[in-house]
Amino acid sequence: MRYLLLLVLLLAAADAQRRDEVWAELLPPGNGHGAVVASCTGCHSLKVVVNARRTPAEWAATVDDMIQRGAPAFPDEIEAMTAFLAKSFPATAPRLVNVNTARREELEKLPGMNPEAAARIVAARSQAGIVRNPEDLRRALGMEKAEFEKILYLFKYSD
Amino acid sequence: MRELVRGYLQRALSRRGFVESMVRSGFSLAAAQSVAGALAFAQQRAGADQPFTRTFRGTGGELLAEQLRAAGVEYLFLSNGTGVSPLCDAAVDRPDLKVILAVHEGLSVAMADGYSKAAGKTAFTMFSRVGIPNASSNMYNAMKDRSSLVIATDHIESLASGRDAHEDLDDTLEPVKEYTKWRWNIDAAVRIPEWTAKAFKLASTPPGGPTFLMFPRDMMTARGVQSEIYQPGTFDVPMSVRADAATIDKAARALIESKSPLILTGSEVWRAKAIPAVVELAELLAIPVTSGEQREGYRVSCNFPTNHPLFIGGYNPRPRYPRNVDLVLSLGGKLPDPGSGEPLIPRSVRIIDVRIEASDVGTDYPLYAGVAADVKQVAQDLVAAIKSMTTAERLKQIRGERLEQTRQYTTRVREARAQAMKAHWNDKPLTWERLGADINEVSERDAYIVPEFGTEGPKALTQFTFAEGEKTLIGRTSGAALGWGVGAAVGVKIGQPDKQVIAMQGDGGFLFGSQPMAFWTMSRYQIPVTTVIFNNRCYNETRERAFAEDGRQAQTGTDMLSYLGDPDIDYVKLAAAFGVPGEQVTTPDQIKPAMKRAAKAALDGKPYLIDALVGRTSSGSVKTLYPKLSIAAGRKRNV
Repeated sequence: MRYLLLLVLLLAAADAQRRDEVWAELLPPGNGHGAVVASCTGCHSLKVVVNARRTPAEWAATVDDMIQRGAPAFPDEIEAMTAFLAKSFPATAPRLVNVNTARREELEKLPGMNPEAAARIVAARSQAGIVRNPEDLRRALGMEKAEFEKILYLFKYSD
Repeated sequence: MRELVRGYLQRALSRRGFVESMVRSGFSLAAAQSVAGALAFAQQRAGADQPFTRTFRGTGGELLAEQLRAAGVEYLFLSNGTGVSPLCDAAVDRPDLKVILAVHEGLSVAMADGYSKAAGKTAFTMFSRVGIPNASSNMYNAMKDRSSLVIATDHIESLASGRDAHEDLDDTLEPVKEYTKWRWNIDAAVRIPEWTAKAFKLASTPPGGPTFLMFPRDMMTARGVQSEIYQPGTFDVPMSVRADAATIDKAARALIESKSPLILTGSEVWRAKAIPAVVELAELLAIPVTSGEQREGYRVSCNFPTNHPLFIGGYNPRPRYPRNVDLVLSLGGKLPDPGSGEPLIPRSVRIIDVRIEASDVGTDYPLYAGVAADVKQVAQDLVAAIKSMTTAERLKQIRGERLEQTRQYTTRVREARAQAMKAHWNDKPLTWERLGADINEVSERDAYIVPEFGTEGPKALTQFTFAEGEKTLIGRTSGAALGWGVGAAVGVKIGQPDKQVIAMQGDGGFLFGSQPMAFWTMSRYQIPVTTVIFNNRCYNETRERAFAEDGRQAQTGTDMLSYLGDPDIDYVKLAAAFGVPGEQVTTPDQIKPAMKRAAKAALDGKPYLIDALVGRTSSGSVKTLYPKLSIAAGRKRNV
């Protein structure tokens, strides 16, 4: 019984770590990416970042606010971080769609998606039970990496 | 061990016999000698030619009062209750026992806690037994902080207890079990001094913690009881326990060998007055130091000078600096919660954990070395051991570029903070950082700051310098049960009457418990505390976390739980109702003049309130939508 409990705890820990890694994959590349990872992840998961939608002014206020709370950013990074976040997660960007729970109609309407692609996602998740990460999704859709990049930042893999 | 100590103190055992018995019980020779030394000190303080006890005849209440005097108690933090009266009767003719009345039991405990922390003494509080539920949140805080408190209540008559009768439970001690280190129901008036002395001894012996005594009414009202009062110095046990030399050598060697060490500091450092010793150790090898708490948080105290170039702020499990930490030396604090995911200190890191609280050494981490000893002694012994193992040249080599790298890191982080603050310097509503910076600037250099904030707190607190000769921080408690701060600030001011005391309080926390009623006590006894409410009309932390989860509240912009506006509370009027003057501050230029008026009030012996409107920040901060509901509108009869 004790070993079973230990196994469950270890699996839970590994699962939490995997989920964090998946959120990191949803942070696009670009100038400021490294500073965001270095400054933000001491206190919270990147989930908070990639789910956020803000105007440039709101992102500027958020970055300044987080620095006051203890985010270890450097002076010459503030501008780049703010610009990176404003570009990657603007107020106008659609919310991330959970690829594992979205309805087929919802998937079809997303930019770059079509009924065929939506059907593949539904088939993939009903077959595997869960689409765990972007690579699982790319394979299910049969897309090349460059093509998949265009829709990568539409989806999340858990809530 | 208890039997051995008793035997030694009663001279049934020689010092040698005591040490040998301790060693046979599993203690190291160094630890046994250290305890023997401490006990000898206690005996010496008692005075070899002085009696250990003094005979006294009186009521139970008088016996308690006499024992409290012998314990050095000056203040009785009381809340109303018939059963407290026998002690008050005794206090009438003992003006050295000064009564501080609070109008809620939770406040009594918070005041006693603040006093104990500020004065460095064991505090006494008493209230009615039915006040235990009211007191419990701050008893929990006190237990988590290991505060030296003796908490007492009255109790039903001895022959009537245990019947679930009027204001009674089957087992009234059970509810306080988790919040106290030791607890007892007094069932013989003649033993009131003995148990009271024991409660003080256990509460004050490091690591400390609240103890609890319950006084049945017939015990307190008994008359003509002859008993022995334990004399001062006969029931305190200074604990400067040293670690054994082999462990010190092992730890010193590991510190010398480490390529990237890190020191975590906890409140035992502050309590043991070990900050200079820890600074010397950190400087010797240029080891970066963190507060031990995540982010910039503080729980009980500030344990390393915040303006020191080696101080890098809160513990960061994914640190930007130092990278690749291979050794953590945790001094006098709980190790970071291992959490449910990856442990906050990676398994590959050597952990050396030093606590006087032996049962908590290591928490749930595998240790390279565990040390149950006084943190000051250990820091001093480590310095001596490192010096004896290395040459000055080698030390210089170890320090190498680490000091300069750390200095550069802390300087750049502080510059970024200043730059970010400048961008919002004149914001309205106020930013937390501007409010903190201005309070810091106009307050006394050696003021005591008593905060009770959530995740917004670091923005204000990092504006202050907490160090020797600078400001002192007490709070927000490691238990973090809200409803502690303003009451605690009252106790801090009583413990440090010659220091400026500023309670800094989030509005959400202020509304918890009975905090506004602390103004009554301030007003009655002329306790000039300045209370600044950081008022964002919100529980910012809970809203921020809920909205970051991107659930239905975030998706619909609905704040079900955290928005505190509508109605907007008028704290100035609230304070005025208790006779405390104050004002509201809405723009940055109003902060300093308001603080100066608060200082003027303090000069006149009066408390003051500043209700400062600060902004909400982060996820969902602009949301004030909540589900409207009118019970009145749904009535069938408008009565």
